[in-house]
This record gives sequence, C-alpha cells and structure tokens, in this order.
Amino acid sequence: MNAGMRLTVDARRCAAPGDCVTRLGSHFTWDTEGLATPTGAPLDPSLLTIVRTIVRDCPTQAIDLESDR
Amino acid sequence: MATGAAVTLSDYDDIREALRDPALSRSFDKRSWDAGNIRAGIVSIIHGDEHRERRRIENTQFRRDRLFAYEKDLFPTVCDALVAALPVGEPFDLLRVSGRMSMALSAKRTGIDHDGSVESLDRLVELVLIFSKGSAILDIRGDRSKVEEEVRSAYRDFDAEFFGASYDRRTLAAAGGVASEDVLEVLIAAGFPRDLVLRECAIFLQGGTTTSSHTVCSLFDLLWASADSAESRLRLADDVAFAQRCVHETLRLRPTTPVIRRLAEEPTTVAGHRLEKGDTVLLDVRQAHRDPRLFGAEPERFDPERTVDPAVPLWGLAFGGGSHQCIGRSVAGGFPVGGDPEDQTADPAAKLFGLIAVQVLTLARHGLVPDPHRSPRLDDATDRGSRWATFPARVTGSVVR
Repeated sequence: MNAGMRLTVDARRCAAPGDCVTRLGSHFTWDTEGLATPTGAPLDPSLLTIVRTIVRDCPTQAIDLESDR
Repeated sequence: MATGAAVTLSDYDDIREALRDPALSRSFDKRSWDAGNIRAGIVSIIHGDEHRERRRIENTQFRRDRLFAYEKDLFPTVCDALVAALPVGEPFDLLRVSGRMSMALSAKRTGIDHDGSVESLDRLVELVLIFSKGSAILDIRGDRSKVEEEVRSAYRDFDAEFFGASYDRRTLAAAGGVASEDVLEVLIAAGFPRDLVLRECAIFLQGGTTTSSHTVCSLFDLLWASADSAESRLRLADDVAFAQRCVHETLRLRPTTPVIRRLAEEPTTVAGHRLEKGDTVLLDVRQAHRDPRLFGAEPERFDPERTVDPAVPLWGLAFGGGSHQCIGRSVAGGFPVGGDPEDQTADPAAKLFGLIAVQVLTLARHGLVPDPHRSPRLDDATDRGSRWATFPARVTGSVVR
C-alpha cells in the first residue's frame, strides 16, 4: 500500500456491481459472501488516478480511499 | 402514491446527490400494487435492503469473465452474422435490427431460450418494446390503463412463447445441482416466486435491448448530421475506442431517461431542498448534461472528442447513479479509455468498450446509410424525446468512403 493510503469497502453498502474488481483486479477481489473487498496489495502512486475514478464511480459509494494518518 | 410537492433539480452535482440519497426511492404508484402493478417487485422499483440484496444476487451475472466472454467472443460474431444477412440496398428499420442484435445476447444473459432464428429474436424484440411502455408508464400520454393492459397481455404471451419452457428447464437443472449461468437460474435458485421471476426477466430483456437500440439510432442520427460526418463514419468502422466515445457522447446528449423521478420515503434534505415523505424530485439529466462548466463549450454539439471535467464521465448521468445505477452499465458502455493501466493496454483485447460500441462498429463496417426515401421518426407516445418509433436505414455492404 502506498504510504499513508488505504482502500476500504463498506460491506453494508456494497451491492457487488463489480466495476472495481473488473477494472483493478489486483486491488479488489470477491470475498466469500460475493462482495467486493480490497486485496491489500500495495498501492502504486501511478494507480491513484484510476483508484480515484473507481471510488468516484462506485454506484453505492461503498469504496473509500483513506489516509492512515 | 406520491401526492406531495415536487422539486426539480437540473444541476449535475445536485442530481448526483439526489441519486445517492438512500431516502429517495423509485417506488412510485404503490397504491396499485395490489391490483397487479405491471412492475411490482422488480429490481428497478424495490428499495433499501431488499434492493441491495436483489442486486447482489443478479450482479453475479455481470462479472468480469462474463463481460469479456460476451464482448470479445460472442457478440462480434452474432452482430456480424445478423448484419451480413441484411440484403444490400434494401431498407430496414434500424431500431428493430439493433434490437435483434442486442436481444441475441440479452436473452442468453437473462436465460430465455429460443430457437436462434431471426423470427424468434424479432418476436422477443416486439415483446420488449411493449414491456418498455410499462417502464415509461409515468411519461405515457393518454390512457395509462390501456397501456398497462397491453403490457399484461405481452407478459402472458411472453410466458406462453418463451418464459414457461425456459423456467421449467432451469427448475429441473437447479434440482440437479447445475451451476447458475444466467439471471433466470439465479432467481430460481434464490427461491423467488414465479410471477416475480417472469417480471424480473422481462425487465432484464428490456434493459438489455431497448436502451441499446434507441442509443444506436440516436448515435447515427447525430453522427450523420454532424459537420465532419464523412470522416467520423470512416473512423467508426475502424476504431472501436472512437465508437465507444460516440456512444458515450450520444448518451450525454440523448439520455434514454432524460428526466429521472425519485420519491421521498422519509424526510430528507437534497441540494438544500427540504423534502417530506411523499414528495417527489424530478432530476433533469438532459439539462445537466448541457452544463458548459463540465462538458465544455458548445455542449449542444455532437463532439465525441470533447474534453470533459475529470470529475465526470462523458456519459454523465445517463446510466443513473447511486444504488439504482443501470445494472448493465458496464455491459453496454464498457469502461472509459484513459487512466486505467490494467485495462487500458495497447491491446484492445484487454479492454471493454461496451456492446453498443461493438454494434455501431459492425454496422459502420457494413456501410450503414440513411434510407433516402423515409425519415426517422421519434415515438410520440411519451414525452421523453429519446425514443424512436422507426429509423429507416440500409447497408451498402462495405465501409462508406
């Protein structure tokens, strides 16, 4: 993960549309309940644009890009 | 039934806020549910936890492996075969032919079996065009009860001609432990009642067909009228990324639902407007898509290459937003080019452009041109202004240069 940045998915909101998993399969996957979840892979700074787009476009606003600090 | 005040929003950010407000639902006209509402209980209408659980079940049929299989393997072949079968130089209705292409895949995804003939596909298209009147029931001019009966009758025909056998076959398969591969199968496995499953499958067939076919017609209508039509026509036949931008620009200018409605299920505040339970909100997407601050100068012009604000997609809010965002958005529109190092490689095979882009590319390669003897006509049965009644066209057999 990029220093100070963390991806989270709120399982209470996720309706599993899967755009995040389709677009960035290295950073999102399906959990045992069939909901999207972060893989925990390190977040390269070059991916920040697409990550922010994925966060913006999540239809249920289930994804957050949070600062650890 | 909503009887409260109505508020209209036309600012992009205000509409986005409203679409994401969990207190606002699409659950109109509850009073008539007991009398057999034509859309009772379908995913488009239900709200809150019930809606989220339904989407979780159905979204399994829209995952990455399925999207790639549809767009890369199945759909190009089906589209090319259906367009190649059109007699060169003979007029046809593009609305129906595009519907035929979309239906080939929509029926497979939904789980509606047919014999694969053009006649069967056309019959299904005929039925979903009636179903779509039910979706636009609040915009219908004139007697809504007649339209509701027409839709109920179409459901009965759909059940007798297609759904019943498909349902029985999958019920047997489910009993045998066969894995679910379409929407019908997952709904049966989840234990939903048959009448609801029928309505749900009808909305999936419709959603996978009519929006695409109206958008295909609107795209060519806009492209042929644009100043650089000849150049664009050539690019459309050769460049799927350009075809995708044409689709997104068409959806911006001609959203299928230009004004979205929402109902306040409880008191809430949206964009500074206090709403009480039962109030309605009208979201003027068509107007919001013409905001020059977001979509650049000359927002009325068809310009697939336009640069838009990085905070908005080129298609704007054409697929809706929030939890009710179109379930087929990624199927129909793909993912935008740019800023995506995993999907946007130099290899187009690794990228999803959306099925509408594949359709228009195929049509352009076969030389789609307007019918010189008849003009396209919009459907005047609703106030939407984005639905076609007929779109006469023909093919020349090769790219028009």
